[in-house]
Amino acid sequence: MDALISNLALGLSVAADPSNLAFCFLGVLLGTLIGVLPGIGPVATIAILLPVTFGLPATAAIIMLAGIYYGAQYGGSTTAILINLPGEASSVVTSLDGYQMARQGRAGIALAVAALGSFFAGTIATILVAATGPVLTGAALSFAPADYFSLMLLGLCVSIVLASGSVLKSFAMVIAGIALGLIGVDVETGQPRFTLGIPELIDGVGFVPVAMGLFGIAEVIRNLEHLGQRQAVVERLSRIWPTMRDLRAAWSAVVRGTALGTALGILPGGGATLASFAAYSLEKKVARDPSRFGKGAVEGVAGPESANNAAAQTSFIPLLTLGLPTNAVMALLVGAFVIQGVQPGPLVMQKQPELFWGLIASMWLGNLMLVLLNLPLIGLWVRLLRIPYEILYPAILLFCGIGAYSLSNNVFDVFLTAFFGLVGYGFLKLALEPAPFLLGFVLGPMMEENLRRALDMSGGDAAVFIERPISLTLLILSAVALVSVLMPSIRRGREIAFKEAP
Amino acid sequence: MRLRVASPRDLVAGGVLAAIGTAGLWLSLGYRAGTLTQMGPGYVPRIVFMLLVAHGVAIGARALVSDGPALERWRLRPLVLVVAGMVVFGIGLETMGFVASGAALLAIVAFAAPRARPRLYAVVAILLLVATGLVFIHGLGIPMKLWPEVE
Repeated sequence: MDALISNLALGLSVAADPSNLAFCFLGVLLGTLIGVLPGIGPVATIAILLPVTFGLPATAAIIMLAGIYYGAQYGGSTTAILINLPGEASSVVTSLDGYQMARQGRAGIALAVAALGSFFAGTIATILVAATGPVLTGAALSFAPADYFSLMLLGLCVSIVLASGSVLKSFAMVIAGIALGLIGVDVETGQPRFTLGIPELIDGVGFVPVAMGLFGIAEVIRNLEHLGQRQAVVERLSRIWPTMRDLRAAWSAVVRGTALGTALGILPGGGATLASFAAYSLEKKVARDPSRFGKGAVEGVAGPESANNAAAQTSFIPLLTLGLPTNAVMALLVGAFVIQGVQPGPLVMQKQPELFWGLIASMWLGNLMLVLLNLPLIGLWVRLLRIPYEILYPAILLFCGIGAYSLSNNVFDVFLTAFFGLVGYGFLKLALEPAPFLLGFVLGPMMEENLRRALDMSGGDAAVFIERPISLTLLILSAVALVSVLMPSIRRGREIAFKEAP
Repeated sequence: MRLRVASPRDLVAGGVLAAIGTAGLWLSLGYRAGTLTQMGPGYVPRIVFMLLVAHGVAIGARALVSDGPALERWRLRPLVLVVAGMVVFGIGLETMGFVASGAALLAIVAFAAPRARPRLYAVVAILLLVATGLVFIHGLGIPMKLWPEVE
């Protein structure tokens, strides 16, 4: 307990450093600003803004990126409530009741409840991250290469099981992502692989061009297709502050959503998405009159919003303690860590405690800023929503172009970004999910390295994976996850969980 | 007699994945596989691409029997113009400088959407170029030429 408090104190002293505080604020502000713009979700927001952080010191850069993440997440909820246009999957359910509230002139209340619920959830989740961090890190330090390989396998399996969409196709996409990660020099032998004679590919395919292309450019192309069909009607805001009645109704939903979100966020896969869907179903189940849902029930906003924010925070746990990214956003952050010269994993806490605890403390400060920033500025966000897309997309494309070039001051990355925009559009048309692809791309090289090291150490004996208790447990869990998704009853449950929307 | 495909979209998806897998597998045969103890550069790629082929075939096979959506139409105009705009931006950056290549990008992608207010677009485009030039090149110091180099 004392250690926890002294660690948090260290973190607060780092996070409250004026320049870090400023970057946290800037991140939250930019994240909200861009996340609020229609058609840009958190992954795209982070990908577009990633290059802005390159020049910063590692701690400031990571703090700012985290700020961008929860800012964008919150911005997505704002659009979900105001114009029925969820920025990403995790705020889909928010739009069900949030937009109805907006149509009844209660948009301000919905936004306030979402902000306050998210803040509460963020606070609890931050404490959980701080408390479990050292424990898990301690465990992770005893991991051998074989254990790491099994851990990543488990991460991939669970993320597929928990994600929406076809399991077979998600698997194929993970494998395709791993395949993309093979490009470049083989670390052990120095042999260049699959570079097709292109010298720029010797160091492998850059992470940022892939993410920017798949999530930024491809989204733009898709949105341009549907331009004109989407009519953003922004409802008028009357009052912002919820009444006591609203608060009483929302309070217990916030607590339930937080509990559900913190638990589900730790699991790999669509943590935040699954959490918000699950929270919505839970609220409907415990409500005395479930028929109010879909017609502007305040619990329908409070529960899922708290859940997805809690999950967004706790999804940092596997990343910071085990070095395991569990969703597309965390995969992007791995890229950011590596660019900053920090290998995410258990050593971060030991070697750079100020980075680790500073980040955690900044999460809480960032959430506080979100409340302070969003409630008074709701009017401004509403005006931003009126920016027509035909003016927005050229800016996005220009930012992506500049960002790609600035990675290594090489136009090859610009071409790569354009290429992955094309690929991403193909993925969208074929209903192949980019998120598992990105996850496979990030985890693939780490898995190969650990696999080879494990087998090298065991003298080529594959039994090492089942002889080590940690590895065996993780493999059994992977198998359970895989088998469960094939069982008809669970498969049906999974479908229902993602089709809660009427 | 024509074969009825239950899910054309997934058949194409599976076919594309299987084709990429086959190409990758063929390339990985050029790298030494090595042994389990001392894996060569080709060991893991072989497994990965074999798995990719298997998944592609499985998706394609399932598409023959299990109903699914038709192939969505590709709208070529936004796709081609956006990708072309980015490529032109990349090509122009080192020769024409940021201002000219950025303007080319914005001009090309302008035609990717039905344009209701061309004058507004032009104003926004100019403001964008000025703002990004100031912020990224002056402010953040990204080493980009603003103007073409005069010999």
